[in-house]
Amino acid sequence: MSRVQYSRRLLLQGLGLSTALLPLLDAEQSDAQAAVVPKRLVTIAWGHGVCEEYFFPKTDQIVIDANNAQSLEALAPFRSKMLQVCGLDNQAYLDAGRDYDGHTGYPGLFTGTRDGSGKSVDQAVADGLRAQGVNKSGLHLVVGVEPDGNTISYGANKQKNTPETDPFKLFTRLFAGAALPPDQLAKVLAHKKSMLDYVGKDLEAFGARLGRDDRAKIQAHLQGVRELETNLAADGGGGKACAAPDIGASRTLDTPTRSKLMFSLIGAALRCDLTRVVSMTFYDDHGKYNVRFPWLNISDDYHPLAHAKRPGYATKNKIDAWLFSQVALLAKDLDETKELDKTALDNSVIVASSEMNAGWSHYVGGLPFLLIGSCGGYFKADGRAIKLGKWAGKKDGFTSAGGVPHNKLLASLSNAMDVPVQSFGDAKYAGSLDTELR
Amino acid sequence: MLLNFALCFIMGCTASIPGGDASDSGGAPQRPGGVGDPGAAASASGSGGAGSVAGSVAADPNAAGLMPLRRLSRSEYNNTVADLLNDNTQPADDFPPDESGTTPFPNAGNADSLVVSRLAEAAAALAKTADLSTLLPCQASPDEAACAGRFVDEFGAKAFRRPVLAAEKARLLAVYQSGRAEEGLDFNGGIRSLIEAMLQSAPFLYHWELGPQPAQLEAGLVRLGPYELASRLSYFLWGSMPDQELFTAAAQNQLSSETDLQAQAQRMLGNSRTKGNLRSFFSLWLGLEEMRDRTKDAEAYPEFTDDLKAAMTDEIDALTTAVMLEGDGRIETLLTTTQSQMSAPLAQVYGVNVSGSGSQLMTLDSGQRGGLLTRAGFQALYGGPTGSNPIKRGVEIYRRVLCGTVPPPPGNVPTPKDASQGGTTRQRFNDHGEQECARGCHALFDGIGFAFENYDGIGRYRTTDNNLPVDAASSTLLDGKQVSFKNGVELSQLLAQSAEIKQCLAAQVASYGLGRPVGSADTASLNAAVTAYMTGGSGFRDLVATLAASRTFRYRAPADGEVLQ
Repeated sequence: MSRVQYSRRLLLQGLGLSTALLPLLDAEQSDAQAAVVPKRLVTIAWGHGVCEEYFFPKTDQIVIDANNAQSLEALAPFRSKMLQVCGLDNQAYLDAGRDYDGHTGYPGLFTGTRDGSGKSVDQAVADGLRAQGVNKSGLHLVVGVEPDGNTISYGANKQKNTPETDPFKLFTRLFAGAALPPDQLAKVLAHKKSMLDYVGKDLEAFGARLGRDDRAKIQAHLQGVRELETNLAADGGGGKACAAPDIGASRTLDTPTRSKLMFSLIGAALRCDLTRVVSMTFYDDHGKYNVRFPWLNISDDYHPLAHAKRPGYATKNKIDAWLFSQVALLAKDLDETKELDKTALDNSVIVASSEMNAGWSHYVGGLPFLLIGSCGGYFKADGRAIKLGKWAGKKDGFTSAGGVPHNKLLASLSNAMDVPVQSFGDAKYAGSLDTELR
Repeated sequence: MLLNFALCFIMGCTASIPGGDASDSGGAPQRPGGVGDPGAAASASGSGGAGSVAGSVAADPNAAGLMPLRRLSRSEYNNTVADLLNDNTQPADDFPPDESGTTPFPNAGNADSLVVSRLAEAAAALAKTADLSTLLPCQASPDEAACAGRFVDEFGAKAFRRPVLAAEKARLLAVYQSGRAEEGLDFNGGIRSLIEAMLQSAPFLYHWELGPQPAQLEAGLVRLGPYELASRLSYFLWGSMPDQELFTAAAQNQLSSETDLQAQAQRMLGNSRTKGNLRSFFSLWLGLEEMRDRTKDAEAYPEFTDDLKAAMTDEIDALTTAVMLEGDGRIETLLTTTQSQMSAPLAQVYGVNVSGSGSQLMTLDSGQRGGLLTRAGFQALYGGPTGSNPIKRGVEIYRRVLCGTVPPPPGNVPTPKDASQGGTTRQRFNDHGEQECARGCHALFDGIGFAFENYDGIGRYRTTDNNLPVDAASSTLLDGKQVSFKNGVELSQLLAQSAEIKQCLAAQVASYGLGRPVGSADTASLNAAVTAYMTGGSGFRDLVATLAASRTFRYRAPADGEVLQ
């Protein structure tokens, strides 16, 4: 990996520290070069489904055609590195009678369970990598754009992983360490370690006599402490020298700005190998009526728009186009980063989907999964639209079940990231899509 | 544009009106479930039942509900550090949002690594800016270690809301010592480390002031100790930690009896802090917090600006304060009075005139308006983006004011017809509610919602809708009987006179104070609160004080798997 410019001034500005510290900083740290370029996984979800008439192509190729009011325009430059996987159902939900529970689909979307009772694929892969000795403080980043309490990332024991939605805190977490002189950094870390150590002991003592349910809450709290301790012990939070994005200084952010900042921070973290697994809960209002897009000159609420079917498609597509344009920012960031003879995008896989099919139906079958990037050549991501199960050979708009559990895709993602599994999520839905996607 | 009814299915509402519970011995009706969640509040004394809080079934006077472990909510954290450290920076505004469950009152969620890191950052920041001169009970010289020890004892007792245990003190002093020895901190730095550690400790963060002593058992229930009661009382009435008077009363064991607690509650109710905090009860109970995020169709209601929204919530806020916290404290008044604190932005919606830019007290037209439910803000909050929404209004009143429970709608509900297809809102929504699959649930609340059809999407009074006359005459089940009314003003009057409404008010206040849904184990305590409300003379305030001193506040059922001794 080529050395990148290290902008200390930007980092210090971002931290609010004085640039008088500049002369004190050491020469750039440099890690031993990775013998193999690392693979990365990014999961992204948004709510309210898609306009299914336009989204699913009628051929076996991904169609990105401005004339067709397609919402994927921004991703056109990456079409040849994409896969559209059609015919995947949230089978766990369907079998639980939750056919139309799209608005509460997040617990199942990346866990492959009916109720969030299993790790999401980002958590499982991160844990797998850690067990293999990948030691990074930012190994698993759980982020979001809207601080509304929704998440697609689940730990064990139904623990919801709260996404970080503050770009400044994410910046500090990722890049702060590299800006401090080593001895100052060491002091900060020692203090944090001492505090976490105390908190862990305090929680253990506190929880000892509590009832079962209450003890579980303390266990969850302890688990949070342990995660921070693990991150601290990893690479000391220092990270390596890398060009951090300029995130500006203004603290009052509108949504499109926050979105752009979060995606650029993720991009930087991936490029700089500060992380390998990112979960981005992009957009969901859980079916409430509060989400608007004034910067797109749309004054109506997203929810009723998604329900408007035909007359409302043009407007919903405009919103979806913006959503995908943000994903495209990340794809571009990664694709412009050379890694040996490939790009960072080739070495990653971005998996994006909504928790439902059509916004008006709330149906959890026929999920709109998109893959961008081949994950180091694991997938044959070459612009195909793969039609699975009952969708195979079909050329119409799809709103019914394809009959293929989406657990299989999750299993393939885990396999691609070198954490091999026989099944993912509910073991009833075993197998992978390795045959179809490679 | 008729919809595919084959898709919809009944979600647990039976077609018949509820009330057929075999244990019902008449009297007040058994709303399905109510604010309660029977699973969450089982009592040790075994008085089961459907979780109804309607009280006529023989309620066990000795029962008490569970006390599930809760972390400080965001506002509780902010208030507590303001009291403890005199810090008003409100660091918890940066924490992830509290989670709403089945009650209108959100609780803090489980602490995951993001929450732990926020707590750590907040603790470090608060410790850094704390004014040690006001917090230290002693000087560094001549004996630093002794002073640090004293600080742990005295400041720690306030932070933990109970005396600090020996083992806790040892752990804290270890933090102090390693700070001094290994991190090279000076005395003040060491003290700041202690503050930082205490603010991340479980006894600070969780509502659990039991300490190490064995739990005191009485007839299968845990009797809360004085420090636990002090905190239960202060967080109920102030949303914050106990004051010195409460701590002293706890230390002198003067918080054990019902009389003690009633007296403290009455003392605290006379305090402006209580008024400030209980306003948040009303705001959450009625859902006014959501007004901030409400939007309307810009073409239909261009006047629905942030200013108007603020004026709307101010009017209702002033109403609940004036009646419930300062006036006669009666929900009967709250639901029927025509008094309003009117301001200019709102005057247009009400069709009245005000002079000047402030607000003025006026009397509304009693033909058009009555109490709380007929106010523009309430109707706007539960109206639709382009017009009224009788289902939403019906459901919210049914759930919040009558403590009814409604299962969530099926995921595939077809949308009601659009206004362009003709008909009044009522006619179009009625078609929707009359569908086979919908009738069971909609029968519970549509009748209530239709009564408010005289108010458009932003609560303006109207007599026509889509060029047709408004029909607001309706009926609903109340106190076990079907009652009819010609509009929302009349319905409000009937609700005001009902027994149900008082029981629901008590249940909601208890839910707020206990931090959990109420259940059958709380029934006797709720009944006592309703009696106090009816006979005490200050209505709501007597209800609050009686609850604070009630059996289910002074005792709790042991938790499954808890080590009591």
